[in-house]
Amino acid sequence: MDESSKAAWIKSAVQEYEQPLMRYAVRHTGCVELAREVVQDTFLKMWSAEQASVDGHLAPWLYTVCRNRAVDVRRKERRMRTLEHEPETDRREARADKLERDSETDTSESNAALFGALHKLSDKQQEVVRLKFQSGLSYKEIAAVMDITVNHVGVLLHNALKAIRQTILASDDGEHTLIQEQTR
Amino acid sequence: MTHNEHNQHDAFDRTEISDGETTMNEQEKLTAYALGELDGDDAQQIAQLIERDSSARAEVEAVQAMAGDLTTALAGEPAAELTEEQRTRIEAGPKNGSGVFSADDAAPAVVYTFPAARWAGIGLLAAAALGLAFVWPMMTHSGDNTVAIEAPAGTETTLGLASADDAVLGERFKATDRRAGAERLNELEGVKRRAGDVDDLTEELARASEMHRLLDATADTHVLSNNGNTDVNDPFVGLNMAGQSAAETSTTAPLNEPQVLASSPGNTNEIRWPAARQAQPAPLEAGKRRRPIPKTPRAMPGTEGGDFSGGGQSAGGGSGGSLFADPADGPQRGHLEQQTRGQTPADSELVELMRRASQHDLSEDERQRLNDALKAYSVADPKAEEARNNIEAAEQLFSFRGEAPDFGKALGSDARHFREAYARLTDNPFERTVSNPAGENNLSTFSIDVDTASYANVRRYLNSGQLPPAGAVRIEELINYFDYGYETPGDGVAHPFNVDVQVTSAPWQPEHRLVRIGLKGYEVPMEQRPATNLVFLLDTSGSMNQPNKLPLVKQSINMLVDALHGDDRVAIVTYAGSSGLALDSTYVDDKAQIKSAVNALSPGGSTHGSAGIELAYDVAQEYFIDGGINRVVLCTDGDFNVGVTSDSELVSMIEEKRETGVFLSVLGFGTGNWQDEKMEQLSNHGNGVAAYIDGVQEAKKVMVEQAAGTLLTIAKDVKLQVDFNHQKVAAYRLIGYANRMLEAQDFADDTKDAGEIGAGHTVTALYEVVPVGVEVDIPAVDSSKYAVVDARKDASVDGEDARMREPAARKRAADRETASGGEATEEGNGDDSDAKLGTPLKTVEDKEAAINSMLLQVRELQKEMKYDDALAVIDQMLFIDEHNSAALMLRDAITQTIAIQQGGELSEEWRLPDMDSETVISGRRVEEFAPVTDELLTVRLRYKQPDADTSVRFDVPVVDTGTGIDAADADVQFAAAVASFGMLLRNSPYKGRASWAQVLDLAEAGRGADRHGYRAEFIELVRKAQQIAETRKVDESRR
Repeated sequence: MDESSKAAWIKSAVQEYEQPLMRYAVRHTGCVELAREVVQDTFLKMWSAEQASVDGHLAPWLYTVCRNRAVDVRRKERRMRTLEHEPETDRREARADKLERDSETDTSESNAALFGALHKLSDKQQEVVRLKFQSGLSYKEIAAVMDITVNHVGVLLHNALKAIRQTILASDDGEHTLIQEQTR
Repeated sequence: MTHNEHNQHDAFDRTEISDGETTMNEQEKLTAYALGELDGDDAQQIAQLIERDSSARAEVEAVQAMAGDLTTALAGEPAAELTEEQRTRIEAGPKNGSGVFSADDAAPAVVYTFPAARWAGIGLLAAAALGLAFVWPMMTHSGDNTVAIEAPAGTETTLGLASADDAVLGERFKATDRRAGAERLNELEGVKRRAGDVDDLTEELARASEMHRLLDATADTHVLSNNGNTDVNDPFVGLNMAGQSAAETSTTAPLNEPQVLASSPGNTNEIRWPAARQAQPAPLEAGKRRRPIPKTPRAMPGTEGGDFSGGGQSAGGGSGGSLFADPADGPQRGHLEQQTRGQTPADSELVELMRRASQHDLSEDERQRLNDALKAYSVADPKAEEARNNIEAAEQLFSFRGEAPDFGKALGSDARHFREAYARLTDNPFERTVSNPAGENNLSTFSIDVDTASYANVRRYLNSGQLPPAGAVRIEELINYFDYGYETPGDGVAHPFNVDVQVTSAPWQPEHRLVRIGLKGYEVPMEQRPATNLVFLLDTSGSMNQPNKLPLVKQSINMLVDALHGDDRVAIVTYAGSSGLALDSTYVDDKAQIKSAVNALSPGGSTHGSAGIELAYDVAQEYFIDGGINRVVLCTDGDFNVGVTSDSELVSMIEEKRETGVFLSVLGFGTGNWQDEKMEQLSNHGNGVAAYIDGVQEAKKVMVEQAAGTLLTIAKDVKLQVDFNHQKVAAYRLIGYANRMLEAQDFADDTKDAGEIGAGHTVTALYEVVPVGVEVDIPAVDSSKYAVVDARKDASVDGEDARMREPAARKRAADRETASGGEATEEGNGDDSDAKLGTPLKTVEDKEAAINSMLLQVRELQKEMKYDDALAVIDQMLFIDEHNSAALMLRDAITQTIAIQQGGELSEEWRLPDMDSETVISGRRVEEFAPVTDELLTVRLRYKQPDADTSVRFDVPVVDTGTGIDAADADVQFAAAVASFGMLLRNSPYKGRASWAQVLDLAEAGRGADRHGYRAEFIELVRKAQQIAETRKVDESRR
C-alpha cells in the first residue's frame, strides 16, 4: 500500500476516533497530557499496521493498542512516585472525577445520577460500560480489548447495570419516580 | 475517593465473585440479549423465556432503557483533543524523524535542560499549554464558521459523538453490533496478538528516536520536522509555535496541506469537512479574520446568534467557533467587533499577552485583562475540556502577584503534574551546591532500590536485535543487577550493612569525579539462615497457561525447595476460580510430597485472589516460626483480582499483615502486564522483594543464588542522603534513581517508606561530581532574591536587616548568590579571612563571607578544645555583626563548656543539640555549624531493623584521594561501565565522551572473578548494542 493512501486511512481514523479514544485514554491515565501521548502513539501505530488486516475491526484494534499503551505509560508514570503513590492516586482520581463533574453540570439531573452511580462501579465495570455504551463496541470486541473472555464481559456488564440501577433507585425520590417510569 | 465510596465499591465487586470463564447465568444472558449480544441457541432460549415470563420481559426493557440513558449521558462527556503538533506527527508518520514523541525524549528538556529557569520553565509550559488550547482554536474558528454556514443541512448530526445526538449514536451502536459476527472472533484474536504487545510500539519509538538522534548528531542542525522550520523537539521553538507563530502562521504561511494542519487545532468541524476547508479564504485574509473575544460570550448566541451561526447555533456553545463574530462576513460582524473590542483584547493582543505572561512581563492591568479574556473563553466553549483546565491554572497563574517560586505553589497540582509528567524518565540533572546557610541544595536524598527488572528488559531487547527505548533503561537497575564484592559487615558490627564509598574519575567526563556508594548487607549463609516458613501463593488462572508462566513457576519453586533445609516449611495456596490449599505446610524433608504437589498444579479458572491471600496469611500464621523467616511468596502474572477492589485497600491489608511479622515477596512471571505496578506496590508495603522472572536463568539467580536475600530482609526503609561539601563540590548529579528521589526532609521522617535490603544484597549508587574549579556545564541560576533575604533574616537575631531592604544591596546579594559555586570556596577557606578582616568590610557579602570563614575557624578551634581562642574569634564575629545568631549560640555553648570543665553543671538551656538530629536553631540547621574541611561529602544512611519502627542513622564522611578510573578497583570500573552503557542506551545528555569501545574496555578491566558469568553476559550485550547501533548508523548514512 502506498504512503498517501495509508496517510488518508490514518487521517480518517483520527477524524473518527480521536475523541472517543481521548475519552478512553483520559479514563485510563487520569491525565489529559498523558492521554494525548497515548492516543498519538496509538494512531502512529497504524503506520506499522497492515490496513488489510485491521480494516473491519479498526475500532477494537485502536482501543486495544490504546489500552496497552496507556497501561505502559501509567506504569512508567508510576515509577516516578513509588514513594508517594497514594496521595498521587488521590489527586489523579480527584482530577478525573473533576473532569466528570464538569461534564455533569452541563447535563440533566438524571445524567448526574447516572454518573454518580457509574463512579461507584469498579474500574473494570466502568471500563466495560464505557466501551459498550460510549464506544459502541460489542461484547466480543470488548473482550478482545480488555483481554478477558466474552462471558466475563457479559457478567461485568450485567453486574454494572444492576448496580447502577440499584444506586439510582436508592437515591432520592425524584430520581426514583423518573427511573420507575423508565423501567416501568 | 471517600471511604464510604470504597465500601460501596466493594459491595458491587463482590457480586462478581462468580465471574469469569464459566458461562453466563440466565440474568446475565438476559442483559446480553437486551443489548443484542446473544445469538444461536442462547438467543432462542431467552426469546422463549421472554415470551412466557413478563418479569423477564420487563428486565430486558429495563436494560434497554438503561442502555439508552447511558449512551446518551456518556455521549455528552467532554473529550479533550490532541494537540496540533501531535496530529501533525501522526500524519507524518514515524518515518520523518519527528516521531520522537515519547515524553522521555522530547518533553523533559523543557524542564530539565534549563534548570536555571525551572520555575520560569513551568510558566512557559503553562503558557504553551494555554497557547495550544486557546490560540489554535482562535485561529481556526473561522474554519468552523465557514463550515457551519456552508455545510449542508445536517451538519450537526454528522458531528456525531461531539454533539451528543442520540439518533446518530443509536445508529452507530446498532451498526457496531451488527458487525460483530461470530466469525470475527478469530480475526480479532489475530489482531489482539499483533496489537497486544506494547513492546512493538516502544520498539518503534526507540527506532524513531535513534534516527532522530543520529540525524541530530551528524548534521549538527535541528532536525527539520514536517514544515521546514519547526523543530518540534526544541522546547523553545515549540513555545514559539504556541505563543507567537500561532499568530503568525495563519498570515504568513502558505496554505498547503501540512501547514493547514499545523495551524489548526484539528477541531472536529475542520477535519470532517475538507471540502469546506478548501473554500476558506486565502491565507492573508485568514490572518485578518481574527475576531475579538466577547466579554460575555454566552449571551451572544441569544442576541446576535442569527448573524454568525448557521447549523452550528443549536450547539449552544458546543462549538466554540460559532460564538465568534467574523468581521469578514459582513457589516454586522464588523459592528460586533467594534462593540467588543473596547472591552477585551483582540486575539492578536491576547496572544501577545500570553507570550509576555510567560515571561512574567505583565502589568497588573494587563494581567487582569488576560484573566478576563481567558474566563470569557471558558464560558464560551464549554466543550473545550482541556481549555478550561488550563484556564483554571491560568487564573491562578495570572491573578497571582508574586514571583516565580510562589507561582509554582499557585499552580498547585498542575505544576506538579507538569513536572512529574515530564520528569519521570529524565536523567537527574546536575544540581549546583550553594554556600547559603540552609544549604538544602547540597543534600541529595533517595531511597535505595534493589529492583533489577530493567536489566532483564534491556537484555530482551538487545537479544532480539533492537536497541531498547530510552524509557526502558533505568540505569540504577542495570547497575544493581550485578553483585559487587563490597566488604561484608563482620560479627558484632553495629549496623546490618557496610558502606563502601570510592571516588574516582568519571570515564565519560574525566575532569568530573565519580562517587560510587556501595552498600552490602550482611551475609546469611543458607546454612545459618533462620528456620523458614514459606507459603507460596500461586496464581493458577487461565492466563498463567503459558510456557513462561506456570511451568516456570513450578521450576522456580522446585529450585527453591532444593535450596531449603529439611526443617523449613513450605505450603502452597492457589487462587483461581476457587482458592485452595494445594499443599498444607510441609517440612522440606518431605521433598517428594512438595514436588508432586507442585507438579500437579494446573492452570484453569479465573483469578480471584482475596480468599487466596487471606488463606495464605492464615497458613503462614498457623505455622509461624518465632525468630524465623515467615513469608508469603506471591507468584503471579499480575492480574490479581483480589476481591478487595482498590489497590489502596489491598495495600493496607498487606500492611496490616506485615505487622504480624509475615512479610510478602512477589515474583512476577510473564511480561507486559500492567498489574506489575500493583505487584511492586504490594511487595514494597509488605517489606518484601519484587522480582521478575523471565526465564530459567533468572529463576536460578533469584531462587538459588540470592535465596537468602530474597527471603531474609535485614534492614528496611533504607534511605541515603549525601551531604556535599560546597567547598569541594560545585555540582553533583545522581545517576539513575530518578524515581526514587526523596525530599531532604523525608530522610528523617520515619513514616516515609523506602527500600529494603535483603541478606547479602548489594546496593550501588553513583554520583557524578563536578569539582570546584571545573566549569559546570549548566546554565547559571538566577536565584531567588528572597532566598538571600530570608537567609539574612534568619542569621540576625532580631530578624531584620535594614540594609538588605535597599534594592541595590539585594541585587548584589542576588548576583553573589548566582556565582556561589566557585566564589564560595575562596571565601570559605580560612586562609584569606584575616586579610579580609584587615580591610574594611563594605558590603553585606563581604561581611557574610568573613563571618562564614570565622565560623569555620571557631569549629576547628572547638574541636581542638582551644576554647579561649574560639571565643576571641567569636568576639570578632560579633564585632562585625553583633546580632549574628550563630556567633551568639557558639559563644554561649563554649562558655558553658568551659563552665563544665571547671566543674559546673551544663544548664539544659544551653546544651548543644544532638548533632544527629535535624534540629533547627533560628531557622538554620545545626549541621551548618559543623563545616568539614577536606571531606568531599558525607554519606548518611538511615534504616530500620526489620522489626523496628524507628530508624537508625549513621554517617560516612568521604575524602577524595584523587584516584583515576584506571587505578580504581574492578567493581568501580565495572559499575562505571554499566553506567556508561546505560547513558549510551538512553542517549543521555550527560554521556559526555562515553563510547561503546570505552564501555567494553572498562567492563573487561572490571570483569573480576565473575563467578556466575553475569559480567561476561553484560560484555556480550554491549557488543550487541554496539553492533546494532553501528549498523543503524550505516543504514542512516546510506539514505
